[in-house]
Amino acid sequence: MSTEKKPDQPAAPSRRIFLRDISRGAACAGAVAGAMAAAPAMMARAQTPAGGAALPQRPDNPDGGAFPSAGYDWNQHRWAFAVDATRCIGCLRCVEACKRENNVALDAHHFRTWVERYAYVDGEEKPRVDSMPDPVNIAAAGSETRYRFANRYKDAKVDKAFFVPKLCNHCTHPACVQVCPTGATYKTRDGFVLIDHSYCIGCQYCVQACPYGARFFNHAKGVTDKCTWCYHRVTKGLMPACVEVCPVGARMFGDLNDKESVVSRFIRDNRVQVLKPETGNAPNVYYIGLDKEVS
Amino acid sequence: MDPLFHAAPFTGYVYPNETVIPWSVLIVVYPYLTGLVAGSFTVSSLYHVFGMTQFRPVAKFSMLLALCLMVCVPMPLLLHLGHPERAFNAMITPHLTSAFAIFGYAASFYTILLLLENWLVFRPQVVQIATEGKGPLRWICRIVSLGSDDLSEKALHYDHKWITALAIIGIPAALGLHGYVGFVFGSLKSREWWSSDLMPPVFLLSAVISGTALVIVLYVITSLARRVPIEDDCVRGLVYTLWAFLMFALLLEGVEFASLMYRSREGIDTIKEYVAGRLFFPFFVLQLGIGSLVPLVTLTFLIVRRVRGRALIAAATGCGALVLMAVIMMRWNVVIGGQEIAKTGKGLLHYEPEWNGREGLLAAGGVLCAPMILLFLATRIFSPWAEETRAAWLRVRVASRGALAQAGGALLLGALGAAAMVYSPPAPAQTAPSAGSVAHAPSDLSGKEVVAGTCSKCHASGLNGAPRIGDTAAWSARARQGLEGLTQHALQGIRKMPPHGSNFMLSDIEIQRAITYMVNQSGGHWTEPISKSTLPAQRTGEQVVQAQCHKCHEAGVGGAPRIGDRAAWSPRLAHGLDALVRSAINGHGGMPARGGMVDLTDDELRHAIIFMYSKKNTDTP
Repeated sequence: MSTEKKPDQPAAPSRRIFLRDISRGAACAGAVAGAMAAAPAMMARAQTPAGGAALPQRPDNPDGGAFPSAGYDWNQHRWAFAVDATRCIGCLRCVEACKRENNVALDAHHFRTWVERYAYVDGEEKPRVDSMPDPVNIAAAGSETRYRFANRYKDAKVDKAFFVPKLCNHCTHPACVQVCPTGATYKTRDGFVLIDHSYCIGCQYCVQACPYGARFFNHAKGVTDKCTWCYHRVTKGLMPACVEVCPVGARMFGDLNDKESVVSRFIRDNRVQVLKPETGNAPNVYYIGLDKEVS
Repeated sequence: MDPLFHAAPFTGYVYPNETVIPWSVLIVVYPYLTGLVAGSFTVSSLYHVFGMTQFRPVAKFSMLLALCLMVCVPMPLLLHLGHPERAFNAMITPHLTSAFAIFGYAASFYTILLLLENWLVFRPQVVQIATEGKGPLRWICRIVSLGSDDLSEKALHYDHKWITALAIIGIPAALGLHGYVGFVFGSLKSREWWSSDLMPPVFLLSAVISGTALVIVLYVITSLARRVPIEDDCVRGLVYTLWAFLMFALLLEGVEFASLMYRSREGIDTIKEYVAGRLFFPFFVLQLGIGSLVPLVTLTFLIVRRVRGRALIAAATGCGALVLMAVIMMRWNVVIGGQEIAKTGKGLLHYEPEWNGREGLLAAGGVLCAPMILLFLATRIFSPWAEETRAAWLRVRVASRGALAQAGGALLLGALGAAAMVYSPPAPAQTAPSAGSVAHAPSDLSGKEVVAGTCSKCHASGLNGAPRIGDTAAWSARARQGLEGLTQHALQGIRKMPPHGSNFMLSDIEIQRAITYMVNQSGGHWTEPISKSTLPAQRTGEQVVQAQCHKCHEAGVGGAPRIGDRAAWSPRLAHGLDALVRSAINGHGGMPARGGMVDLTDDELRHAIIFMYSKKNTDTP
């Protein structure tokens, strides 16, 4: 069934494989970029906010300069993420690129970013929602190390269907940071919420506190883990891996301090939404094309 | 090797990361243990702070129990942590906005407080072993006694003050520690099932009921194992406590659930589906029904009908076991229930606890057993039982080693939380201790013995202004306060008299007997109270007649109908046996109330009458 043409996924099988290979390439590129600085595991060991403007020198940093990278001043930036859900085609290259870029466990239960599919089937009041861990999707992918949406609605009359990419919202008032007992997870000056993997005790209170389900437990390291907006790439002038590989430009990343950045323009030109604003977390992933049923 | 994680099956839509349930059964055990600490400490405080003497038999025991539980509280957390070796990070650099960051300090403070309190309570025993014991235990006790071997009246009086003061501080500390555990859950806005202002009080009240229930169950089990009588008044006091807190706990739980349903915010459909489906049995049937309502009704019956004796003990123990089950179900329904309702509001997860592994059921069972094992070991060294001297305890220990081993097994079973399911009511086992052994408990001293051993130091000579034995004027003035009043003074100390007359090995009953003896030696006519614990061992009609009635009814003194003289008895029975028993209770003519035998129960009186009526008079054939 994986080779059949899907109404909600116009890409032909050959094109899919092509895209998959491209994503591998992107992942490799990312890995090289990562290796230039340090192992990805060390990326999250960014300095704590207490460090102040003067970035500490790290002798183990191959850059030889300041961590996370030479010449980067976190006081100069205020990063944000934007998603145009109307453009997303559910190809899941972002998910695969993220898994490889950030060394996330290759299974259907741990994601730094994922994509949700909403389908309003004729005669049903509520939409059907599915994502990566859905057994039907796992079966369609062939294994838990690959990700795809099964063509499960090909015989149904679908009134409306769309995809919603999800990732950490790097909230302005993050509930996860509030509950962390040690301060291992923290808000950076340039707008990221990061985790110090060398300090996290692995209590998973933050996993509970996040209303978006963005956090998960890294069983191999015994610490919690989540999307970093590819901090290790961004501080070197690169885009996050998921933004890099998105073939339709549904994912955008930019600096709010730069009025002409893609995200600044996106927020200015559109009437944007955030997820679950009632939590008071003030998320920093801005969406257009959401629906009332998206939570 | 175990897999690193278990993905939970789900229905509807859940966030992909939610399929690995973050908090396992260990986090169910953690609030259960802290709750038991808070509850057992509360019971102990009822005696130590509020002076409710009926709790004396369990006061020391529940103090020791609280300590044994408390030192095990960090265990489930450490087992759960991904990096337990970093646990102190939370204390070195506490992130003050986190509810968890305070835990290290609160728990440490409370553990130290419990250690101090237990040290003071058991200090006389520690010193005794340090001076008289032998082997490594003696050296340990020497170190534990911290070089203080002063057991003078003054020192003990000083200890007593500190015990009270620490218990007063301990109450808010214990309850605060547990209210805070409720806050850990209630303060999270990510889950509708947890997000409630009522969560801290609900946790708090369920903590007190679980602790009280555990004290009841352990008191009964240990008493049976040690073959000592169970004091009715103590069990009744625990029953009252359990009833009151259980009622509040149930009401608050109901209000919380009702307001959640009434608010009906986003995702309520999923919650309703969950409550009516998977949660129905653990929540409505186990927690609210069998675990809360059934005990509440039973306890109400026990209180209203003033049930005593064996029936009271069996029913109270059953209620205790059910409440223990209800509270662990409550923890489960909160901790696991909250995680089974997806944050999406669109799906449900299905947590399946594993057996093995660091966060499995076996580990959780082990954590629950640990405090019971600790308690068992602690009681091998110290005697937390109120009515025994240490020497007596050692004798009993040697004699009933087998019974204690069985008790240990029973405790472990009880600890597994499966108590309710596997627990067999103690009624059959209770027949084991014979009436004889009950009457001669090792240290059941008479008033005369207590006076000779303790009171006479001052009361024989009138030292320190004590009323001298034989000083009719001084004692009759005091006798007007009644036995209860005098006992209170003797227990708490008055003027220069130290609490308990400085002999903390004396039971309340022994002190009462001593007072009675001194009053009687000084012109009074009081009856020495018999041990309340011998009440279940009812005297037969014949025994009562031989002890008392025969004095008048044998010879017919003062017109008393003679034993076996049917002609004289029959008209008195014209209005039925009940009427005759009533008149014997109240007394009439030359017959004093209860025949002058104040400790006679109605039932014993009835049997005595039947015996006197029906006995064949051998003197006049």
